[in-house]
Amino acid sequence: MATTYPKTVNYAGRQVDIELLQSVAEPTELIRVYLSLSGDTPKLATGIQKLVHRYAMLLLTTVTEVKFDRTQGTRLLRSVVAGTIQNRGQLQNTFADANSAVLAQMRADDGDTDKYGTIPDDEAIVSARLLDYDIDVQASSIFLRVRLTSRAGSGLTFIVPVTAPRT
Amino acid sequence: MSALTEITQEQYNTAEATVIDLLRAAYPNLDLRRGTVLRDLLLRAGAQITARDTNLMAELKGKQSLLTLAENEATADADDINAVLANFNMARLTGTKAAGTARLLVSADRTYTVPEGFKFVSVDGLEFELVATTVASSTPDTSAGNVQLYTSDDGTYYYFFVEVIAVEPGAAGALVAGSALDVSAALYGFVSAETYSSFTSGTEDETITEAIARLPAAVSYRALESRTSIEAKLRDAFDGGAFTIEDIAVRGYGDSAQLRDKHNPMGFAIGSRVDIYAKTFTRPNRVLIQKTGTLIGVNTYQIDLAAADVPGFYAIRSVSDIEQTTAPAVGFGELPTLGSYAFSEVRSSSGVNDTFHDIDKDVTSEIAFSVWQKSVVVVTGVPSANVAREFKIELYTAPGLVALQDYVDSADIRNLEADYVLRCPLICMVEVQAIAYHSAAYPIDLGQMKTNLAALINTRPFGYILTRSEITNQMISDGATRIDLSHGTGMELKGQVIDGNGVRHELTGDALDIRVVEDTAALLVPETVVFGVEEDKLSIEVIAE
Repeated sequence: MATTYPKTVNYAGRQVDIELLQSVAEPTELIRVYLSLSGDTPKLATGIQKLVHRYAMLLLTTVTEVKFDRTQGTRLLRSVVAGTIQNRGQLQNTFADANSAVLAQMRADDGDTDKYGTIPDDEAIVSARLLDYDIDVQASSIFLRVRLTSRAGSGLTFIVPVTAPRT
Repeated sequence: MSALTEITQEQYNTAEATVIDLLRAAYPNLDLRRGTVLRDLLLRAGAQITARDTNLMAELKGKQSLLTLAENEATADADDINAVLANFNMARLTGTKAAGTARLLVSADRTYTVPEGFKFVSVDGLEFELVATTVASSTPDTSAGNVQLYTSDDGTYYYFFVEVIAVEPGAAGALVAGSALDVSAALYGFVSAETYSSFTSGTEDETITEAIARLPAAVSYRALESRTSIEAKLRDAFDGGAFTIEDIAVRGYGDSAQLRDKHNPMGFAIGSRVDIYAKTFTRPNRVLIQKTGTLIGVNTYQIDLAAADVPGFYAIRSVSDIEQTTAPAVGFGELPTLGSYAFSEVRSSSGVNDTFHDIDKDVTSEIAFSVWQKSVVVVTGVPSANVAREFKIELYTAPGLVALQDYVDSADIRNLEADYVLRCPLICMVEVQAIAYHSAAYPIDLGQMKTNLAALINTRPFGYILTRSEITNQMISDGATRIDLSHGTGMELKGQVIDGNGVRHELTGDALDIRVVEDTAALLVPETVVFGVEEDKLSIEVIAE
């Protein structure tokens, strides 16, 4: 059952990032997005949307492959392409390891207020729970469904990605 | 050149923190945490560029200082060093090559042609090459520059002499007389080869520290006036050429050992007379000449050394038959000794009256060690009755004295009110005998210790004393745990110096102090004397304990 959240375009006092998961016009229970920065009019993102794309980027970044930030990311994709995930159990275990790493990295930066500033409740991750997962051998793909919970819980306001910040 | 690939993690972290601070100060609403796009697009690239620029700045800063370059001299780029030195009108002096005469023994009496560049190799693998194509035969065409092919005294082999020079610069090429050489290519009739005399020492490239020491002279006003400006003028003209000026001592108005400015009835100094002692060598520089002696008595020959033979030489080291390879350990001043006949000499002047120089040609010390000095050498104990006989003479001298004298005499250069005379420095030849103890677990490299000791002694400038403490300190630095300093059985330090009147002075004790034997009338004062040693005069025994 879809959950409805209030929406806003008020970016006052917010730290922004360029929208990575395109394009989310409004929060819904399940939406397919594209991992891309392409397009003539990239948008800004903040709030829960930014939290989700930070999580996605870290989850899909392979650890040791980012120069000077070799601890960033997880082993998830490396395990997938290496063929070490043969069954759902292995997928679950691999995700659990990767998820733990992502949460640790996000929490570390969220807590470093001297360096990055204070983070709003709807951008601070509390948990990421795997709801559903599957392996499609025929399509050579895996499916993961994760519920992210911010410190704001369900009381958040969705800040719509825009092409220019508005206050 | 610092590149992105040379950035370390630590340097990146520092740069990243800086860039985050700068970005957040200018744009506080940018999120730069891990997982953001901005971090990848802005921060990472900016931090790497900043880290690289910081490295470049550090690199540039390091290259702007000679002191910093000296800290990493082994890896410092010569162009970077010269770029800084150029600000002082200087360039780093490159090393010189050792050179000398080699004797080739051959099996037959025929004409030998050895081409220029023909290579010889020492037992240590050092390469030497022939300076010029040499043609040798028993009846040489001397007008064509061909050389004599000699027959050995017992008639069993033949030999001739060639001039060789080290392929690479450096002091390592200073082979002692009698060192074996091999040929690197076939040479018809070749039997063997050896160094006929001890080779002149090559020099290493100038160190940055040495270049820094030259700076005062380099930035000095260049004129033949003050001590510093005279040194600057001469260095400017000659450094980097055929010889290198290691040090200069100037004796002028009011200085001790300045004899020429008192040529008046009252005997008081009038100034404008300047004696310049040019140390144009590091290790005592030997030259070798062949001269014909004339029989003047039973087993006694006279050899006339003209002023042009070895201009301004300091002392004769040995006189021997040309076939004789003088033993490297020949004792300085201890003739007769192995390889050398006994000899005596009388020095006088030659041609000084034809110059404008104010020199009393009848006073030996005024002419001493100058380019107008000549000598008559009487050699005794020669087992021969031939009317004339060839001799080989080894002498100590300073290279380049004629060129230096010609320069200061040049009408374009010289101060019209002054009279400059170049002289070879007086060389106090040092001998050291010592016993060095070391831990059995840490053996001493005796060869390196001798090299370092020789460098310590040979690089001292004018006007210093040499003490046992300095020698001891160097030996400790080279791995000795203790040095036996007890008198009689422990370290002995000896020095011998010949003054301007030809009188030999001996120094011993805890310190070699020229002031003990000072004789201003004979040019013997600390400011005219340098210390010199040859490694074979360093008798060091090492004992493990």
